[in-house]
Amino acid sequence: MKKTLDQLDLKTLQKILNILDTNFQNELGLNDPQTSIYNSWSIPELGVSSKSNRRTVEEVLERLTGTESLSQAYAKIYERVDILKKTRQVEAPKGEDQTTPQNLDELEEQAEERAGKQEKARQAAKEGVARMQDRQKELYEEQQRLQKRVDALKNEDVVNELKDKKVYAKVEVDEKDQPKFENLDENDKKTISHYQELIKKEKFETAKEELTKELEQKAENELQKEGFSKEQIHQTAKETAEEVIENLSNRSSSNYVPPSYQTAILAHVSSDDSVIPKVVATKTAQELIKNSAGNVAVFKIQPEVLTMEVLKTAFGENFSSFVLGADPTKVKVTLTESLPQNIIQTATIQYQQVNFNELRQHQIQIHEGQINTIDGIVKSGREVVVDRFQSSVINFVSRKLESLPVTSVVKKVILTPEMQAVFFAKFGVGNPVTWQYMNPVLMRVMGQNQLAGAAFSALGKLTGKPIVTAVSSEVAGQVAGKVATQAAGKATGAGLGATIGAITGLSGGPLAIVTAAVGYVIGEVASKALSKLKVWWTKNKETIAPFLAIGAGLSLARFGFGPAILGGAGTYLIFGGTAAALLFGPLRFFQILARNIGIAIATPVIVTLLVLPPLVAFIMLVINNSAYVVPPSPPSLSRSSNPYISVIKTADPAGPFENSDLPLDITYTITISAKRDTLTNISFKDTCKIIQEASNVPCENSSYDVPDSISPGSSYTITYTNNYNKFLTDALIVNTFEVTATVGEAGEQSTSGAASIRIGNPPNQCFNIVKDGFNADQYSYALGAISKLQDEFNGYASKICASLGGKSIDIKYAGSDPNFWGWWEDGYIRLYSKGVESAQNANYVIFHELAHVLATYDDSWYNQYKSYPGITNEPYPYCFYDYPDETGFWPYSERFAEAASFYANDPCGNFRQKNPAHYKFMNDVLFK
Amino acid sequence: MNKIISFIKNNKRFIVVFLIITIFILMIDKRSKKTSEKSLPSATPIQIATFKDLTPGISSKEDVLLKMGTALNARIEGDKETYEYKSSNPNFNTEVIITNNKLEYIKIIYTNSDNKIYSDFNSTYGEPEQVLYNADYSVGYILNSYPSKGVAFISHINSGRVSEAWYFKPTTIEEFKNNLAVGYFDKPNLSR
Repeated sequence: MKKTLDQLDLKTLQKILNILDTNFQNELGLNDPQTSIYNSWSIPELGVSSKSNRRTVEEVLERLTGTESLSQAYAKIYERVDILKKTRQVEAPKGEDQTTPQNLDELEEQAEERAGKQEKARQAAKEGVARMQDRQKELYEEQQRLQKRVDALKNEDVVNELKDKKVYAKVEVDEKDQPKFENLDENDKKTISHYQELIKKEKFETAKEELTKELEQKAENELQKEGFSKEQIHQTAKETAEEVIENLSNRSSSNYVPPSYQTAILAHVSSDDSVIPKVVATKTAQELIKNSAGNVAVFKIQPEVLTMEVLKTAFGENFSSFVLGADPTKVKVTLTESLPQNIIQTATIQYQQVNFNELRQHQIQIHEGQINTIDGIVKSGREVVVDRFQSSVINFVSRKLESLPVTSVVKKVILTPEMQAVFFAKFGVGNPVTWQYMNPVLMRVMGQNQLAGAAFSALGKLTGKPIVTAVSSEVAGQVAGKVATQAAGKATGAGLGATIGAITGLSGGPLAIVTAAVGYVIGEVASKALSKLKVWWTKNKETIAPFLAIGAGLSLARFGFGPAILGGAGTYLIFGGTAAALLFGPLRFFQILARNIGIAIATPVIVTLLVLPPLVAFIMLVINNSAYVVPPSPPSLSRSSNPYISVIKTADPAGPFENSDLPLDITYTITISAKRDTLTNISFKDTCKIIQEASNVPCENSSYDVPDSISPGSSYTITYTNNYNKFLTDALIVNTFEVTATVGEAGEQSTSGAASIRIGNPPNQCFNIVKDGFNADQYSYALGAISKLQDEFNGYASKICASLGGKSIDIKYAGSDPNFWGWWEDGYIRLYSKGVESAQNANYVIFHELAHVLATYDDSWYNQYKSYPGITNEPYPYCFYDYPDETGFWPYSERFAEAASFYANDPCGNFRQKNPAHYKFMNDVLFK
Repeated sequence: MNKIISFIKNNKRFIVVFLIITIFILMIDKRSKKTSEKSLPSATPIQIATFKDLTPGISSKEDVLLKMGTALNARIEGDKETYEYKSSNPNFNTEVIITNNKLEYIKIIYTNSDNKIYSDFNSTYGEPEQVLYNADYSVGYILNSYPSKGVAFISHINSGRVSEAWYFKPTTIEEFKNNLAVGYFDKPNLSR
């Protein structure tokens, strides 16, 4: 029979309290978790021990005390102990009568001493419980504050005011301060070339590992002098390597903005009083934008400074500048409310845009993630602080920041009181009022906690603004990007977890600490379990097949533990899965894990892990959507993705035309510009393709002169006229002009521009949905996808139909399959139930499978894709569908299909930003 | 001697006809010997594929460097040296592997503009000894393999375009699959 609280004796109850004191400190908020002692213990009276599942212990205590809260259970037990002690005191004289008599003074003295001890213990316990209750109240209040901010950000007036609002930043760097490849010494050139080569071959992990080792070797002595431990040096080198490889791999993207430029731009936005008011009318919205931009700048500074300093130490200043961009102090930023006409990006002048609505949306996502995180923390009762690592590193960074000139934009942004407060809250350095060096001893965990709280209060008083701890997705995206990459590799460890926590703990208040805890827990569990998980996963793929179907497991197939959570959560947010399903998946997953691999994952840990999906979901979203400091949108500038050459090809008149308009004279104008450096060894290739049923009309190319060179800031224009005769009825004519040239640091570069002419109705009526098997909804979704294809993406539809040479392609229902949405084989497309359970799914899968159809019947498009400049320098087009072949390689045929579907449907909302070369190919070639 | 001269004079027609017939017979004989030599059962050695007169397993590193020109990249890992040369595809380079100073392997990348088609190989090497498949079969690509001749190429089943050609030391089909055609299978293994 199970005992009640009243049935337990004093000794047992005291033992329970002792066990709770020493083993459940975190849950009770009683003490510094760093000093917690995890002893082996057992309470036979309750049938629990240190080997018991933590949830079991909680349940036993709940049954015993009638309260779900561990702290309240503790309080009840304490009260019971107190009562029993008093009773015993009262009963004691009886006993004493039977023992050796003592004198009254001694007895009184002992009684006083006992009473004093008991009072102290009672007081300590009360304080502990009160602290815990304060903590919960603090978390609850933080949740409420965040919710208010979310409400404010979702306010209709704010939404309308920030919609489509952006400012442009003209970024100027003097020629002499411009980092150039040719200014590097031979060793640095070799180093850069080596890593660029690895990146080109998509050997990202190898590149990071090699660079980590190299940085560790080269910077070890200097960093040791700065007080870095070996572990810190390794972690710092690793983070620096991540940053370097990411920057090197992104350089070729047209969307790439060097980190130092981003910092400089955001710093200017945060302190702007002249341009933002011209774009955003209300003071509230202006402050929201400025505050957010300032936060972003501040949060970017710490890792950037660290990366910069480590690179300077290891390779020198030129190398650092080449990777990270010109020193922010040398970057001149001018904000404008509109983009000047006919601008050309050059080495010394570049334009970027800052999108306010993106900023607003990401803040909402971040806050919602934070709210969910607190929720999970409160429910799980876990709050662990582990981030000691940062202390001497931050000390180092803070000193570097102090040494910046006062005129520096970075220093300026840090010197603003509110930014000091944010910076102080995040990193424990600085001061809400005056900037000063903070003794690293204060960085001890509890100290940091207290400092953070103090800073948060101070910040609130100083600013009184609705959003005081917001962070830009730009920063979170970049840092989280690293995490995601790390998780994909073999190192999903405690450090990583702490990093997740650290980067997501962006609130200036207690949230910064509690989210670090989540990261730590995840990291701890992941690092210990990873190897077992891989083995287990291999054996149990089938068991969790249903889980695969909801998306999360798709990543597991490739990466194992960490990214499975990432992928799952991301997928769910993307596709709007229900909360119940979101919870079901991971919960079931972890239950299966625990059962199969024989590790005891305590319930609080499982609950804590459940905190992660919303948390990671927003990380994934910000990774995927971090795009509010980007180059101006294409209509304003070249559509070329190449950072060195711009090619714009236009047709005049542009059409579309009726068959009756034939014959037609179309004048094509091609404008080629050098963006950064002089173009030499120039060659042109003009390709023309006519898409027409049974076409035998030749496509004429024109001849033109090729210049010896094109200088930055100037452009070379070619104009020619083609005549299209009366035989070109119902045709799509695609002209692609490719330029190849040698450009200083980058060597040979290629890019292209395209123009297409549509005459009549080019073939696009070749899709036959076989109705059998589809229910009404499924059929309508499939029809909708084809309608979308024909109405909105005629270029793509025409190419597919032309490839079929007058035949049509059948699209059939193939029943239910947990693993597949669609399948292309044997001359027809199979759609499974998942693929047609929504319009979104049908659009996605049909556009994907049709790319396979096109590649099968006219591989010239697929070959063009494989030859298209830049596509191998980008990440795989990935949203949620994981598609490695048997060797772990992601086939280009699948990348091609995913890219086509992403272009039309963009399920993750980030295709253009993440895959600019793929986007350009789809935009300029396949969907043209 | 006079008798001989007299014999010739008396039988000169016969002698002329005899000589003509003899010469004719000799000519026929010679031709028939040539024909019969040709028609003997062939013992021709297996044709080993070459690229630009470079033969894997035979050509030296010097031959490679001479014929292929300046490499874009070079990697050395122990005895293995890998050189990359520009191809018509800006994303993928031609790859040459040299082991112990001997040419081991060449991978040529082709694009649309190279106009390399199935019949270019088929006319030289005949029907493939084995066709292998990987994930790209879903869009029509197959690996036509001639392990005993040291050549394989990837072509598209509909257009016939060739996207890659591999040259290597002649080997068995099993070794080819284990060492070079990793990820390829005897039968299509579609999964999507």
